[in-house]
Amino acid sequence: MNIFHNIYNLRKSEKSVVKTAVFIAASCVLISCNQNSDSVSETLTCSEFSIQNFSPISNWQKDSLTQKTIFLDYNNANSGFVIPSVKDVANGLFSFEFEIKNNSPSTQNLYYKIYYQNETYKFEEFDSLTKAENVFAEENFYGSWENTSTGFKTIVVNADNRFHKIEDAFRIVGNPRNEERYFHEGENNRWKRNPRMGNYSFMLVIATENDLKNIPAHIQNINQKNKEHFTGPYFFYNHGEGKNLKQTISTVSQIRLKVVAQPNLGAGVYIDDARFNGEIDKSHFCATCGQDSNLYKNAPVQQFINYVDVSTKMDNIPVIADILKDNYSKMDYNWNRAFYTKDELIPTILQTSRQPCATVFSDPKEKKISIKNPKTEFGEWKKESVGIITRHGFTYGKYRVKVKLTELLNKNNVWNGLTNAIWLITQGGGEWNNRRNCNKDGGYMATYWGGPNDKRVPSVDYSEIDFEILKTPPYCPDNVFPPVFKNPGDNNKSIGSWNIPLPEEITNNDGAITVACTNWDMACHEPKNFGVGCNPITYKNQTFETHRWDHNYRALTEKKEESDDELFGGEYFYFEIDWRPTEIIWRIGAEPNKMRVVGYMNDKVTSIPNNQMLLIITQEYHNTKWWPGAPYSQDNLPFPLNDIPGEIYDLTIE
Amino acid sequence: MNIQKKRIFIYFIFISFGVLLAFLFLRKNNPALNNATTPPIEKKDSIIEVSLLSEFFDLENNNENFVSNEKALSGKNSCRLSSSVEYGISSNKLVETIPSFKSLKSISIKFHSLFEKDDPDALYVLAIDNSKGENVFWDGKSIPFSKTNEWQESKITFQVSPDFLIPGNRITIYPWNRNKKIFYLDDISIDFVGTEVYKEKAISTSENSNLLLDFETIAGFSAADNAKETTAHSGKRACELFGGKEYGPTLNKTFLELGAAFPKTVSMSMWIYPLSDNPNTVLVTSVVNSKNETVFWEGKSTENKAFSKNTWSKINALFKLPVEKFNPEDVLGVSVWNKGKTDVIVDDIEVVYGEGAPRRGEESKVDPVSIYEKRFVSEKNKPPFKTIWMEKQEIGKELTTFSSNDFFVAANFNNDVNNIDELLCISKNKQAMYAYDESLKTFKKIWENINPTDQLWNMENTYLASSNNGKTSITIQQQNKALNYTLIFNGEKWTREKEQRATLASSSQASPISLYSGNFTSDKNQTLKHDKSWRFDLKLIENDVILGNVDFKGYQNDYNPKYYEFVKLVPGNFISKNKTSLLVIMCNCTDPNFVGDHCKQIEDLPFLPNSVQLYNFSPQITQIITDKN
Repeated sequence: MNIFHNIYNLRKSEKSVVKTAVFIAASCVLISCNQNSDSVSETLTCSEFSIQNFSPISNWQKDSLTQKTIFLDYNNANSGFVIPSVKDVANGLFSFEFEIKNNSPSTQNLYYKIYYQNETYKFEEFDSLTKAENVFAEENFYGSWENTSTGFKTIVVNADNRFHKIEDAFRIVGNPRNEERYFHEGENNRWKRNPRMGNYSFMLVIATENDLKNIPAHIQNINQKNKEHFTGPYFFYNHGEGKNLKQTISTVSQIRLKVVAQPNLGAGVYIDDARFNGEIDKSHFCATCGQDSNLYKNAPVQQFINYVDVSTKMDNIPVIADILKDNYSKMDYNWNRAFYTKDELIPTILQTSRQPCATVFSDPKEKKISIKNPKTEFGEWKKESVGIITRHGFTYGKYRVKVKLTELLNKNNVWNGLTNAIWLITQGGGEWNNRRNCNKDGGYMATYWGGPNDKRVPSVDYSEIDFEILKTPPYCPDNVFPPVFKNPGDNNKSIGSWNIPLPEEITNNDGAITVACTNWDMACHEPKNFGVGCNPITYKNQTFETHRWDHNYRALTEKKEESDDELFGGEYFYFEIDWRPTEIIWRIGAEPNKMRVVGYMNDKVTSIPNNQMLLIITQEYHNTKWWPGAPYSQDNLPFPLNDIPGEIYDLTIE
Repeated sequence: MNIQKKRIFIYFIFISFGVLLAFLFLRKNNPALNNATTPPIEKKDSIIEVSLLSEFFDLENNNENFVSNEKALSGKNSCRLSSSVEYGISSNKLVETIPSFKSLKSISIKFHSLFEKDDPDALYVLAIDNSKGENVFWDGKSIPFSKTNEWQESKITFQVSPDFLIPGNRITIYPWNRNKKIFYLDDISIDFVGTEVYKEKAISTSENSNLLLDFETIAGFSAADNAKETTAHSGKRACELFGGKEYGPTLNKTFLELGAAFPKTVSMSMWIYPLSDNPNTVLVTSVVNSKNETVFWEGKSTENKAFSKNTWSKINALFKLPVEKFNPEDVLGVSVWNKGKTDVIVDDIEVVYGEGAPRRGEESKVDPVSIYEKRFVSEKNKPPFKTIWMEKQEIGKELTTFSSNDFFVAANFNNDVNNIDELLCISKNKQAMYAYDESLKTFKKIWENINPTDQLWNMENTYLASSNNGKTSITIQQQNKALNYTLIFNGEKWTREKEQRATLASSSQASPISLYSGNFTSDKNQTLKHDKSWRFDLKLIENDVILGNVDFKGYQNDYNPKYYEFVKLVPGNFISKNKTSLLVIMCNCTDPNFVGDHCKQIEDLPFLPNSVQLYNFSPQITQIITDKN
């Protein structure tokens, strides 16, 4: 490994980083010996050398001894996040340092390399069953120097029985293995594999020249594969052949770096032409919502436009009312359901905004985003969904939002027809963002919109994890599903004919809305306990019932009834999707430290997505045909008389 | 002809002439009578159109040569017709597979089309072949073309002669690209439309499509012999399936009994009380044809579900019925099968056939695209109409003793200069007159009949207010009496002004439509049209134009006048001489065959108590109407 040769292959900025590091390293070797270093921390020793005082991020939060935290810098991050950014640290690099002592009788060349790995969202490297590397561990997010061909760096250490301080630098970037999969037209689109959130560990490896020869190329250069697969360096050194290298020391620092994404919601809303059809109306553009270069570079979210299936036309009652404020009653609902003729109905499809920025607002002062489902007027009847979507994808993460979304039920417990949704959706993109292959019964259903006869394919890029909160009954236990709804009549001389009460399955929990937690696994049959119907799953002494309609149904859902007043009646509420490599946990709560689990799934029952996804927060109108058993039918609910606001105060991904 | 007869004849001629003049005058001033009437509501038991069978093609799961993913209205695929694709997606149906095929009248195809360049002059074709495969009918209708590169919705309807509705005949519907041009079709829905007798009782009332067997009686059920007083979920009785008894209660109905259209679903629920663990009791729906063959069977069992011993638990089920397999004479059965033969008690079996009757009326003519593009324009006197709100006014409790059965006349009986109307109320037990006190926000009694034997103040009489020479009087026609009386109110009591021969015609059948003139929202003559033939339908009409549907605001709880079974409206200038208010007397009625005119047994429901309310149009609403003008 000749780093002076390889340096010519680097870009200018990288060259300067490496040159600086080498210069520092050389200077350290020649000048900066620290004879007292072994008194500071544990010294690791092999016969040829000793090391101590490995400090992986020495220029960040120097006072923190074990746990350090950094927030992602969203400024100008479209090409991918870098940790740290130049805003965090002057040169945009983490410094690391260690001390080394030559234990041999003569000066020798030693070789070092730093690796980092996301620990929060990883597969365990070692598979205790096969006693080999976990086959999924190659998906773990680990890296080293940005230029993967920079293998080990050389240091010359005199045999002076002294510790010498070595200083170098690195940063965490997307696509750290520089995988071709994420390149487009020769450019490394690091944003396609952004750094994961959560804790990072740092491993320093130092080897003698002889041992270096026994470290395989695919470990030295993490870009390279071994038999079509990547091998994780953490596995190699801690569990694999690297463990047996006598003159190699690998050490994982006790210091962890927690990476948190907390975008400033006051930094604006970007409008992506592609989400709107044709020429867009820019009349509502403003400094905090639109398409200017500042928003393009820095806005963390864009306006979300729901997919509208135009075939789901509804004939809606011609009523315009404020269900929440007017105390619209069940009797109002029943009368309106019974006593309008077909020709009085309003044929409509659920709509999305055609005026970008008219219904989403970024507030720089309060650092929040406000949304609203717009009111409707006679002649312009509409039920218009509204929402935002993040612009930067991640794989895995604990997504927690602090929101005040609209109440769904009024004082009479009549539903306003909206579904509050906090959900993750694939960042799309096709092959680069495909999920890992599904290896059973032909794979995944090819499309998310197709029917049960859709073809199956080994891999798809579609993924979705949802909180959908609306008025609909749980499907499980299935002995009381679906509720039996009596047929209404339309005899106005007999109230009992048309004013039909709801079944007790509904009225027993009249003030409750259902929190539906769904993972779109695209009907991959590979999970060991893939099932249909209702099936229990236990997590921390809580049992949830998963539900899937049939073997080709693309989504697995759990439902839990919760108080509408609690979730949406207060000043704010928290919703959290904890998306991990082998499980998904849905939590809700009044405060981050008071979260409770409302849904749980793992890879035994569903295929957990491993591609990059975006977060969406919406107040959506759904066709209730999607929700069998829903007590209120969307077409029998009025058009909104007033705007229906929602507030998004905070988004934290950690 | 003697003198008496001549006199009567002359009177008759004069009165007839007067009635004719009055009629012509009213016609002139109330054009709404002629033009603004809405179409009559369908009578019960009338013939209605129903979709016997519907098909929908979104092309997402087809792989024929016409399927293309180049364009799509929904999903990813559509049907692409091109130089090499002459025929698009087709629907094939043997006549006998269409439910109630004998009543098939037309086939309607609704589809979306997209044209690239010009009109392909293509056709949608309906072809009928006989059982030998010979074509016996063919018709092609042009696929409408209006614009390019934009999806447009179209509808084509073919009439189907009964001559071709023969089992064995095959109906085919397909698009024919006869000029081999390029265009696309997507989201094609085909409705086989027939007519049926709309039997309100059979379909839309709860008596027939919603059933509850609580075992307090077992009418209509068979094999319910084990119903007895026992541990019951409700009431005292339930059905015991003990000692290995396998078959429980059964309810059989032919599809004919169930009404016009085949129910596409059966929803059921049942409460079950197992006396041992792991019961296996099944809720069953089956269909047996005239040959006693079971053509459909489906059940939902309690097995492996949480049904605890000695506890009432519920099981629900929904079965979708493949109606194309059934004939009207087939028997749809719902039953309980105690398959596990363990001891169980069942109770409160609820059955709901179908998903409710379709709404009345014809399809909406509103173009959804016009709404989307904000260019919707109301058609004169065609729905949808705006809602015009009336606001509830405070009126105190003086009038609460009256009901919708009573008689009310509003006029300026006091003959005061402010032209405010008083309200004369005639009930069986009380006859009184009230004036609204604006300062106290209440009606105050200004007169009451203290002589209960006075035949002038009697529910059987007919009362008519009239104005002559600026004086308002009331004319009372006593039942079966030769004279009628005109009375004037002098501020304290009624005095007889004159009497004359009775000329009022005998009471005719009450019309379901009442018209009330007034100045409800403006100083122009306006009419409130109250149509009671079906729902509570109140429209405000001005200059031949329906301004909107009238609805109410400001009432307590659910006490909206339109929800009551028996409503009487009395317009009057109770509050302002310039603005007509509406007094609403409303109550509910327990008469089994109540038709809306008179109620023998008035019922005061706790959730909808009988009351009298006064409503005004609010200024805000006036503004809306002004805008419209």
